[in-house]
Amino acid sequence: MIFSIISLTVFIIAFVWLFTSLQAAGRGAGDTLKWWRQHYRRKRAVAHEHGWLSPSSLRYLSYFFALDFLLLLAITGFFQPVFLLKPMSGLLLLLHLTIAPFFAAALLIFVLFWVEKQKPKDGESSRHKRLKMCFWTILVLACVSILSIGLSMFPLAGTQLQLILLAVHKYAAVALVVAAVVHAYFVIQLFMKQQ
Amino acid sequence: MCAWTLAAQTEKIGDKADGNRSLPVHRIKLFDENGDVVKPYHERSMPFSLRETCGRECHSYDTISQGWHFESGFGSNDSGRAGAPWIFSDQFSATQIPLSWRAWPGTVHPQEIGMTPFQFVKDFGGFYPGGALGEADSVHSLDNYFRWNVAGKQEINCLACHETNPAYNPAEYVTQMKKQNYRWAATAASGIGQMEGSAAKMPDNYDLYGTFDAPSPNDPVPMVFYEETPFNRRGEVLFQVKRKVPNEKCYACHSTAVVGENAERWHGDDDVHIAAGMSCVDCHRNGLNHKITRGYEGEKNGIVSLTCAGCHLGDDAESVAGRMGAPKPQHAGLPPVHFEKLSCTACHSGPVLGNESADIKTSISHKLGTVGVNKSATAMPHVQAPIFLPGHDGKIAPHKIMWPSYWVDVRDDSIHILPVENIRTIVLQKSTYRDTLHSGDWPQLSDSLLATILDSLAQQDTTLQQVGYISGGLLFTAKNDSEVVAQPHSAGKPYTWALAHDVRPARQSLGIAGCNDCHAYNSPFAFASVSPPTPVLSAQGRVESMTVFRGASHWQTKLFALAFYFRPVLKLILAIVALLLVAVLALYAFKGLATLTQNLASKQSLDKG
Repeated sequence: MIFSIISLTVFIIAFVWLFTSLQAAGRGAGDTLKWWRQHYRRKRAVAHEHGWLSPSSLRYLSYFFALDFLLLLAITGFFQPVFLLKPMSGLLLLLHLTIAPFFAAALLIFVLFWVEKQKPKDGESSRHKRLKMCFWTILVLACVSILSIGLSMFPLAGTQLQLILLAVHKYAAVALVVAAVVHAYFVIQLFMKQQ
Repeated sequence: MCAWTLAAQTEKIGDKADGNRSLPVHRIKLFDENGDVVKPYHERSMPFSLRETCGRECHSYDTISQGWHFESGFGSNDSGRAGAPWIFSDQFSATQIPLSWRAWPGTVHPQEIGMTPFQFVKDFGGFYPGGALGEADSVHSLDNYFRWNVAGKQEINCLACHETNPAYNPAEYVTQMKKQNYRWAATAASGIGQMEGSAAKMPDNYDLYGTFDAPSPNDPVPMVFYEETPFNRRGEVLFQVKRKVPNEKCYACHSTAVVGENAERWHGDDDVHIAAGMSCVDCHRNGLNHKITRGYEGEKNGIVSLTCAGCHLGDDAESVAGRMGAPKPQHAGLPPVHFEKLSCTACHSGPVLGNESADIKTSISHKLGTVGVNKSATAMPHVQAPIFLPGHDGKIAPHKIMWPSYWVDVRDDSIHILPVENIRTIVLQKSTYRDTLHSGDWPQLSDSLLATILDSLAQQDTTLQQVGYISGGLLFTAKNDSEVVAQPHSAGKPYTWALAHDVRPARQSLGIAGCNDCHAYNSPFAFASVSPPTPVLSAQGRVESMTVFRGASHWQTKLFALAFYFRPVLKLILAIVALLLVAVLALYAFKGLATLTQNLASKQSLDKG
């Protein structure tokens, strides 16, 4: 119940902030999604041209895929605990477990391609600074989220530690989703500015 | 003050402990049901009455009679979680019915099959330790008024549980109850007196106190002959009664045997608690009112610390963890969701499940431990275990299960159970019961034989609307002379009741070998076959998956189980990803640290310069 209230509140605040920020930037949600799709199609066309496993394709597509998988993980992971107030189970749990390794792989590729560029530099714009801060936040939260659930799958932790690991996974996941939303907003803002 | 005085007056000397923990000696006089002292050398001695002997001065009998074992649903509106039924089974009419005087859903009230308390006590009294059904006038019907006078009342048999003298013979108690020697049964079982004759053979006008000639030389009037040895010069007898009931006394009525398992007695193990030196009553405790703690979670008026979780985990505020040295389990690697969905017993209790649910026998339903018991593997009634399904609290728990089988008159949408006596005659005439006579099993009914029996029943009583037979979850009705129609019917739904023993050692619990113990594609926990027993040949071999009983989708469960094949891959990917991400984080953290120290060093040089 507490998790449901906290996560719901955080998500509402995050999405309200996202939409109001987009509105303030003169972009509606519809426009943004349209732009997002077009951008994805462009990157996909590049991938078709150079091959899906080419570094230039993976560099961008890993981000899109990681984000998509994170969205799916969030839907399958939060629906039952947040809205039905019951633990994950059944098909949703199955889907969550199936998507999880794909998200982890996409995230790893994304991180490996982009991490070098996320080092703070002197004299860079505040927009870049915020973007980089979001990246590092995502990286830390993803580590926490994956490690906590990964450790719980091994016969190492007793019930109390299991409960702690599960709670850490859940709250880290909420924070990860919020960080990803904020990061996506900054990415959109940056690219739109460039265009 | 007045109330206190009254309470003090009504309290008897054995009702309340004074703090001394030693065993009180029970060298006492015996009293018969009229309150007269029993004298062993009297020519026509009465059996001793436990109401008078134990309850006269020392123990408040009326308070004790509120106990679960005695009140049988007549003393309480709340009978708690559904428990073991009394199973009426009749081999020749292929009938087995779960009975209960309590309002447990799925059981049949004995009166629905025309069974009076007198008949009930006759059939089941050997395993019923007396009380409401056996002695309360308010419960008895006038139909058997004279028979009650002949047989006497079945008072609470305190000795059944508390007498530890090895001379006490529970099988003798059963024998005497079968003979309708209700008032004599406890005396005969105690070994203090020997019983002759049978009240069942006496006519309704038999006078216990008058002179009465036996109906025949082979049927003497019921009479008890006391041994002189147990009595001392003052006419007192030493009872070896214990407050703390030994396990063997409980086992007299509460044994469960898995058919085919541990054919040699020494192959089997006890419940892990018993093996550790505990006794049943360490957990199943009671006060003077004998409302024994059943020990399940959520029990009304139960004691939290006497449940599995209360004693072993102690997470609850009311718990006293570690009671009686209970170890706290770690459950390492077990996702906590299991504690929300499974009872403790799901993993730790009952027989180990194979690919099929096992046939079991219980003391009460199969009259185990009595003289002449049928030891055949197929002896009725047919009960199975374990079946994993949601219990009273929605958590999956192992259950015992039985499918009722009985003959019915289907009237509109309701069904009425037909009396067994008429059916037995017809089935005996028509069936080849001799094949199964010695095995104690029901006769095998082909479709044509069943159709013939149904037809005969309909002809015998033309007032019946449609005669049918409920068995294995199906209602069979005659289509024509040789064919029957079978369809699922709610009346055929199985009755299930939770089991909690024997508790296996931790290393034999489900899940000890990993997730696949329960989540494998073919794990018995999820997919074991359950075959509803029925004498109808065409319906035999019908198999249902364990998932059906849990109300889960078979294919969804299969799919979920399939996912566990990929679990090692998932673990591997997560481990690699987590390691690399942590490595990246660490690398850049060190890089950042290096930059920081370099910056600090250059700043220091600048300051010096």
